[in-house]
Amino acid sequence: MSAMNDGWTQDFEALSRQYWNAWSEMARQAGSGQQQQVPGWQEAMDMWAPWARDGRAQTDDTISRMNAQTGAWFGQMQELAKRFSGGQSSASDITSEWKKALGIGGGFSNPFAGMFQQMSGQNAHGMDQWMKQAAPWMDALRSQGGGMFNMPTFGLQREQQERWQALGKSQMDYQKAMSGYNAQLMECGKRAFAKFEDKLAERSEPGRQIDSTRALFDLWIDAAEESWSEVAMTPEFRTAYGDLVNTQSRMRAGVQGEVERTTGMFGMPTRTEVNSSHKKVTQLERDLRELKQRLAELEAAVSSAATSSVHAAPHAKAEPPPEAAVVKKTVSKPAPAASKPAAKPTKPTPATRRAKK
Amino acid sequence: MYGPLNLSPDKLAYEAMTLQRKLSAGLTTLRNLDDVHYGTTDKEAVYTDGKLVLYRFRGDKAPTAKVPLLISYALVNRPYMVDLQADRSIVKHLLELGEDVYIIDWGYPDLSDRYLDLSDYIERFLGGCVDFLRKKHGLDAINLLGICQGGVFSLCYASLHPDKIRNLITMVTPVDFHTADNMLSHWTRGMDVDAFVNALGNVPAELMNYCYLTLKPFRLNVQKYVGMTDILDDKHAMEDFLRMEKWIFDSPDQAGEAFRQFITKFYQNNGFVAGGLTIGDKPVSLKNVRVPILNVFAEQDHLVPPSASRPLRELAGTKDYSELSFKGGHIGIYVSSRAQREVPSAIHNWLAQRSR
Repeated sequence: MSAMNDGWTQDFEALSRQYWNAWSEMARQAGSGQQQQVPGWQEAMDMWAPWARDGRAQTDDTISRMNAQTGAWFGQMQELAKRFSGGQSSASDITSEWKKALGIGGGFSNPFAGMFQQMSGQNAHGMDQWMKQAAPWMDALRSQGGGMFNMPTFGLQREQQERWQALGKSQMDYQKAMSGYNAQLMECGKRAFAKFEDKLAERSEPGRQIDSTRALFDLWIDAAEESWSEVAMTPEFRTAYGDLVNTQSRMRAGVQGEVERTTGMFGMPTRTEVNSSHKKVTQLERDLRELKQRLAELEAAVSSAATSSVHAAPHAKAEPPPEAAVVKKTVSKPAPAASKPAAKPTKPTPATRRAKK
Repeated sequence: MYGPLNLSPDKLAYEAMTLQRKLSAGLTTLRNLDDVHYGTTDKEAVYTDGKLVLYRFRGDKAPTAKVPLLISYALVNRPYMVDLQADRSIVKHLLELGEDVYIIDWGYPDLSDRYLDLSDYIERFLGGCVDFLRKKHGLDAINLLGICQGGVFSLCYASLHPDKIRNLITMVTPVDFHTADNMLSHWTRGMDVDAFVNALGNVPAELMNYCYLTLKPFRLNVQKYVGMTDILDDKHAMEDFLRMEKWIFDSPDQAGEAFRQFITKFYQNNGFVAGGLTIGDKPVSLKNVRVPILNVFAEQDHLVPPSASRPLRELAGTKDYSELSFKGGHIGIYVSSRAQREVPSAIHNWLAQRSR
């Protein structure tokens, strides 16, 4: 293990030395007019992350999350900082370059949407994730004639055709809702750039200037987070968010219905049938509990009535008093011990409380 | 003329190399980390029902409090945030102060639990624990500490069974779900929750986590992990970081029917404030909550803003109402150093004053 550790440490140190040398060379050549290519955050992370993973979920999951989100943002910010080192550029110029770095105006025009897509993990049942899973169904749908959702249906296949039409329409509704949601993210991006520029302008005086990539990055995060908290609280966002969730729910239900029909043909139990069983069991459990509780209350009432009748007839001494048996029975009932989990708790009855006293 | 940046190649090179040094040190740190766990105080299971387990915490000394304190946490995360680690444990401090502390572990629902509703959680599960403790301790009523969603459950329970609760503490508990700064509420009010639950069954934990992370997407998904590089050479700090990560992402799925009802009754219909709230077929009104209340909320809470908690003062029927406004956030109220100093002692002192 030690030898192995020595191996990876040495390998990483060798890579690190190359990284250090490149940055040292960049610093040395500053002012020479030559633009030195140096590895940035993304290269450092690409080099580091495989070594950092140790096979334990607690570490590997965190490193995956770290790598997934920070590379694009912090790496790009490092590039931006490099571009503006050594000069006095305006807030407007820096913001403009930052937009270019994130692809605004180019092919990748909605970086916030990209970030949100990356955030949803494998099991998050997120929008795009789910679309990928549903792709075979959707492709089949398209092959059935996706442009004919509003045509009248007739003949032997009428019901099936109606279902497919409804499913196709739900997919179109979802895509429309997704466009609306992405427009909100775009609006958030626009506001974030405006705020970033304002915040930069506020720092354009001695003593308040930004002197590190990290500080510049943090300023951008402040701007982005502020714009998000504004946009996400608008009525337009609420509508877009609701539309997205609702259209996806309807599309998901439609696809599930088709899956059930197909699997049902092969005799497979369906989700609907399993749900139905779960629902029955849950209700039976509730009914059973209620009956047990009523029984306990009746027992208590009987016990109480018996106690009253004995007090009312003090001369009846020949037979053991019935309430004694009941009280004795109640007392002898094992109370759930502190050290032993009781599977089915019983509600304390007036009789048991009295007995304890 | 000055621009906003004062960057030089030297400074950038120094920063990049410092970062590289941290990454390099991180390789050693990460390999030497102990496995992180949470929930450090000894405890024993004393009662179970379905997937629910009620635990009793064991301190170094026997409790001096005569009335047990039952903690009811939210369904959406594991309850051990109150006992995260030895130096960040509200439970540990409460035990040291002499409280007799129990906690409900709701478990991880699966699809067989899909039709459990709020009545099951409040009357059957929470109520079952309350009744068990009343019986075990020979008391008519116990002390209840409800946290976040567990606080909502506790308020409902205290309204339905005022005779079974002696003192009620609510922590970061939403009461008015329609305040202007409540982002979660704002989003859920446009949702067709019936269609959502019908399509999903139970609500997956990762979907819930995604939703929470998008409340502050840039800080919680980007900035936090860039910041992690600062502590890569600190084994203790990294273990704390990973322990918190583990807790954040160790979330149970949500039973579909309970989720549907919670969103509808509280987030959408704002039942405590608007009225007309029912659990099962029983009406719930905060006016019925006449037991002493200590309402603890966090000033920087982005999940449950203080404005959502404060209306309890006006809405509750009690004449004995106290507030503790904590300087911190929704998580800091359990794990920060300030929380360790302020929260357990405030709870203990408040309870002690009411046990005389």
